Amino acid sequence: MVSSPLRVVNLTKKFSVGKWHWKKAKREQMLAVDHVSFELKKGELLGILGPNGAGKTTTIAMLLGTLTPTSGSIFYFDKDFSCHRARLFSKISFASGYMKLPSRLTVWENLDIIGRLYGMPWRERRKKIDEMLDVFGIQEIKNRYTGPLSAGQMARLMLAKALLPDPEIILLDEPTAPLDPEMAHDVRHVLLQEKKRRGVSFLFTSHNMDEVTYLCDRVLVFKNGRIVADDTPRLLAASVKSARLLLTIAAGLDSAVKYLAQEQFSYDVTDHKLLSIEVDEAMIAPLLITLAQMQVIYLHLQIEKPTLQDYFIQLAKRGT
Amino acid sequence: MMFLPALNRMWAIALRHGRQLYTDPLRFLNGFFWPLLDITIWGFNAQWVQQQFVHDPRIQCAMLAALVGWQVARRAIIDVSFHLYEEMSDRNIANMFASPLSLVEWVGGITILSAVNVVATLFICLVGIKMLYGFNLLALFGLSLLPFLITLFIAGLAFGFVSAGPLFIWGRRVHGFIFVLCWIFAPFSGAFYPITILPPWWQLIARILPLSYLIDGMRFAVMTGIMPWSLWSIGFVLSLFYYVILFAVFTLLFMHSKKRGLDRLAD
Amino acid sequence: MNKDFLSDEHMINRALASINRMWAVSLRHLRQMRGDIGRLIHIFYWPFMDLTVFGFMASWVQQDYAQDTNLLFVILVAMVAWEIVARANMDVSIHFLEDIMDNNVVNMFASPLSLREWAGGILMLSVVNVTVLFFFCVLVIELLYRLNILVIGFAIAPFLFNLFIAGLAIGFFATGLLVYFGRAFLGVMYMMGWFFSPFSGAFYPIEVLPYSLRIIAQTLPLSYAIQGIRLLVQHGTISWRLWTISLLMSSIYLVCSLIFFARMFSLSKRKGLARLSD
Repeated sequence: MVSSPLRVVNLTKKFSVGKWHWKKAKREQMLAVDHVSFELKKGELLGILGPNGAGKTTTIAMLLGTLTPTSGSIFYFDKDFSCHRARLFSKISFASGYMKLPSRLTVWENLDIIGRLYGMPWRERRKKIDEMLDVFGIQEIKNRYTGPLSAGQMARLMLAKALLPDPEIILLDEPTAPLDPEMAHDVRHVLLQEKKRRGVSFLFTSHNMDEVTYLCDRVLVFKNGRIVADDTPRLLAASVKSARLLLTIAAGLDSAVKYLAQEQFSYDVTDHKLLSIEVDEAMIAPLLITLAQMQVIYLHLQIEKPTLQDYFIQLAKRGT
Repeated sequence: MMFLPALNRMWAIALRHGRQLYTDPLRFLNGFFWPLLDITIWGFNAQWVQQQFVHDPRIQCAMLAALVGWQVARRAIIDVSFHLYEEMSDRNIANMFASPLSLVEWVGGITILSAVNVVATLFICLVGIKMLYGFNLLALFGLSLLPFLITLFIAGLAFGFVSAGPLFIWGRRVHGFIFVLCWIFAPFSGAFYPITILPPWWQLIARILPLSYLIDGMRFAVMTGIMPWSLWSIGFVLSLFYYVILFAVFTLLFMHSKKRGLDRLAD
Repeated sequence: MNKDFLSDEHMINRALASINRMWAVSLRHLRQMRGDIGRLIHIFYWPFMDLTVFGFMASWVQQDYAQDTNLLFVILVAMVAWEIVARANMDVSIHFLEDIMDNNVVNMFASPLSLREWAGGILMLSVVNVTVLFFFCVLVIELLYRLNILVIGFAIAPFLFNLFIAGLAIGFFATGLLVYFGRAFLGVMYMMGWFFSPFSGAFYPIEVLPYSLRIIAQTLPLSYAIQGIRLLVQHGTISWRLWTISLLMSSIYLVCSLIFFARMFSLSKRKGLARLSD
């Protein structure tokens, strides 16, 4: 019976905001995370999406133990995190695209300290640090102080730090955000390799929908402190019913536009006579027939299937 | 009439820092804790020395007067450098100087503020002395000590330029150095002991600085009741001399720093 | 993979791993100090300044008024004792502050490191710092006043140990407040150690203090140890009674402030450690 690397049950976090009052009941409270429950399976790459302020960062802070939950429990490998934090942490690591390491230590020294904290014996530590420096392309800067590093170099260093102790579960908070596309692609490749090779489980936050679609086996969508969806990226995207129909119009653009306005379709026209219409997938065929009957002639036709981005925008528009 | 806008700008600078200093309890505490601590430690030390070894009732008074003199100078030194550091901390350097404000006016504003601070420090020290040791320094010696205190203020501002210099060269990160360069004058000030006890090289350095003359003068005035105008005039002339020279250096550093960009100082 | 990894480790291995983690904390700060000239200057400059100012003062008094006493020697030794207290105090709070300024608090504590191990690492570091400081003071006093306090230093070592513990107690108390209030607490942190100095008996015997202040001084462990040191230096007698009192008091204060520190840390986690940054 393989234990689940991470299981979260009814995790809740309330913050006191505004003016301090001596009666706890009268203090203004904000519910940042509202009874969140989920499970991360072994070898799974779980994405966490959500608009800013949805509770993603707060949840990750609680999973790292730097923020105490108001209620609820976290279980790593079926052990209660609050009881065995330090011991469990030998199998957990994290990285954030925006965090930093001490600026007056060199790259190598920082990795060395992390390695020691995770109890790596010195031979193994030295070898692994070298390996990580190579994998993330930061070998040349290993003796430089981390203070003046660029955002991209620091992001790679944080990832090296996360993979260094060979953990079984890695929490990542927008790790590729400061990286340029080529480097981000390489990094994703490295993460997937780790996943395949050692069966590492990942928890991954991002604002980059393409990246999430590419990497994640499953996605949790946070909104207002709650999980509103838990599905694969493809299925989430598919839940958006409308597709985008792109027509390069040769003749009859005016009548087409009149019809679309009349039927209250959402559409857009650019100056190369490119008509872009938002329409439910099921309605594409009837619409084309109608346009043909109106003598509207098109040169090119393109159908854009909904992506995770569209799901996200729809979610944001939908409100609670 | 030409001076009015300049005075307004100086007052604006004084207000900008003064408001922060006098409304933020932590900053306020910081400003007045250290003088009070010195008064306590040195005062009781002097009391012990007097009771055990010296048996001259005026020694404690003299030592305290000297200490108060140092507090005035110290406050002035720190005011110049610390408020410059605050400007840099608040990323405000470019804001301040990309405006009708000139460096002279900024210094003028800080001088006004420092005068207020020094008076406040003096007040607190005098109250502390009265409460802890029972004598009212002001009532006993006030008038004779005043010229010394004013000159010490000028000397303090002068050395404040020294203390603030590194900020213009290396920027915000050397802020620890402000205090180092403030206290470096302490052993040579004669506030804690007459400079005659110092080894020869140290004495030489102490003699070219104005502080020892002024503080020795204060001690002399308390011990003997006579006003040593000769000591005061040497101290006064030296203080003015240093003020002019160090202000010039300060201005030069500022202009040189502008060449490399004031913004980089904020990091 | 299926073995329960929480219970299969040998006790000795666990202890060794723990010590390794403590050493990692010490290294993190030692390496940083090595590259940071500013901090190094501060570590040595202020004790040097204190020794200079108080030393010359004592030198003057002895020369002019107290020729047949060893006042200078006594005062210098008491100063060194105080510097040790101040250093132990600063070691705890300054190093936590460094982590705050480096945005490193989360990196440190979202790891296998436990709070106890962090404190242990800081303790290791402080022992190193205090030892270096002691020898530095010996050197300075030799150069400035041509007095050798090394021999007497070994004799008063038991008292210095008690003062070290007392300094740590102050340090953990201050750091407890720092952990909760963050950077805003910076100014008060520097004041915290020196706040106790008038009550320490290092600059003058506490008998000089007025009654109310003397009572406060007597509730603190510092004056007993310093008095013991003064007795040893002036008359050559070791007062075990004073040593025991100061040891007991220092230990109790240390235990209390460690508990306070742990409590403030967990209260701080309720608000989130990530907010402790520059």
